[in-house]
This record gives sequence, C-alpha cells and structure tokens, in this order.
Amino acid sequence: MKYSLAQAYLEQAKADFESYKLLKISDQPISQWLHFLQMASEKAGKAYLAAYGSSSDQLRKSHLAFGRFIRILPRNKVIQRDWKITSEQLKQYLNQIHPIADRIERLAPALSNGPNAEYPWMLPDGEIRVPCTHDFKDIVSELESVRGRNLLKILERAISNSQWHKAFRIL
Amino acid sequence: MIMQDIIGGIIQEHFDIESGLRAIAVFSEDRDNELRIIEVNENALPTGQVEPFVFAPQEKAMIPIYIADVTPDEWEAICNGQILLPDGWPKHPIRLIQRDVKNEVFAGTSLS
Repeated sequence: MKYSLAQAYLEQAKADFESYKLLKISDQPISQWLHFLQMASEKAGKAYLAAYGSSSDQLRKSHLAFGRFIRILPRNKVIQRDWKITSEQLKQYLNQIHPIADRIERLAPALSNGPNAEYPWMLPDGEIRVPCTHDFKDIVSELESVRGRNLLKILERAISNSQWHKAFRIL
Repeated sequence: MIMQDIIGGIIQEHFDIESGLRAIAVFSEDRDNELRIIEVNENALPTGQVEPFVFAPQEKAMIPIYIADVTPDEWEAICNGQILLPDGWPKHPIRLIQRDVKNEVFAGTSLS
C-alpha cells in the first residue's frame, strides 16, 4: 500500500499505540509502555502537521505536535460536530487534558533533562536513574484519572477516526 | 456568501472560542480561496516553530484554512525575523486583526 507522509505517520502511531496497550498489561516496566504511549502521541501529532505538506526533515525537528493539535481542535467545526458538543464544551474538556498530554510528550528524551522513558538521567547530586526502574508515579496516577482516560480516547480518535483525518485533510 | 464574509466569520469565531487569542495575522488575500493565518495566542505551546495545521473545506467554511498558533513572544520573534514562516508564505501579514482594539493593523506588526 502506498501512503502519504501523513498516513504513514498515522500508521506508525497506530502500531505504537497497540504496543503501548500490549505492554501495559504485561509485566514489563512502566517506562516501556510509557515510551510507546509517548511515541504514539508524537507520531499522531506529526501526522496532522504532515497534512500541511511538511517534509520528513521538518517533522523530525518538530516537537509537542500532539499538544498543539489538541489545542487547535475546538476551532475545527467537524470535530465539534463529531463530538456533538459546542466549541466551548470541547475546549473545557480539552483544557483538562493539556497538562497530562504535555507530560506524556515531554517523556521524549529530547524534551526532558530529567525523567524520560528511554535513557538514564542524572539527578543534581550525581545519582543516576534508570527509566526501567523508575516508578513514574505522578504520570501513572494521572493516566488512571478521568483526565488520563480522556486523553487516551482523544489519542485513539486522532489515530483511527477517518472523519478526523478528513477534517484535517489527511489523504 | 462572499469570501470576505466567510473569512470574517471564521476570524470572529476563533476570537470567541479562544480567550487567550490576542491577534490573528492573515497571510492570504480574500481572492486566494484559502485562509492562511497565524493566531497569536497566550495559551499556545511555545515551540519556536511555525507549523500550520490544515482544516479541510467544509459546509460553512468552503475554503481550506492553514492555521498555526504562536505565543506573543514568538510573534515578536517572527516580526524580527528570528523565527521563519513556512516556505511560500508572504514575509509579512496582509492584515493583523487584534482582539482589543477591534481594528486591523497593517504589516509591521508588533502587538505592543
């Protein structure tokens, strides 16, 4: 199958999201499923940027794409109609998930000097921490809250909902 | 509905939805059959980049909208040439529509 760049990013985001789900119910460390969740959100956001015509090189340098995407959602009429709520309601709903969405995106090593899901990091006192032994307690409890569950719903929709893809010209 | 009304409606709606929106810089002409805008938004995520999303044409807004959010500081950096606009965009906006003063300012474009 031939993909546009946007479709290709979505396809990979879909695979990352499935990996996240599988790892979440496995015995693997928390860092492993958080890593895939971070990658799924990053690639989903970049898929929507790719629809504009951004190149692969530009997209590799992009960051916080998913956070930007969910901030712009209330201004899109098709999304309002899909959710059957007003733009104001949609905005309030999304405002609640911005913080956790941003925290997930900042698990990428390029955006974090501290805890991230991929590489060891050093504390100010010189102690070295390893992602696979870190508990990521705050993020995990946020993800288990209503806000966290809503974030996962939005991410899943962004990856899989063809109406959303059309609304953002992902062809 | 004429293009000017369509674009005016979109811009007003965005001001209504986004309380943090201070200004909308319009980079397309009414005759272009598309709308290219940068929204200067206090609630934007600062990234140091201008990367637009695309809203496909739909019932009421029958034109594609190319839209990017930037923070007020990023807007200043755009005006100073420190942050580049996407390829193919004019160097300066054709109109800058500010929320508070309810009027349009031509390119030059600081918000202060």
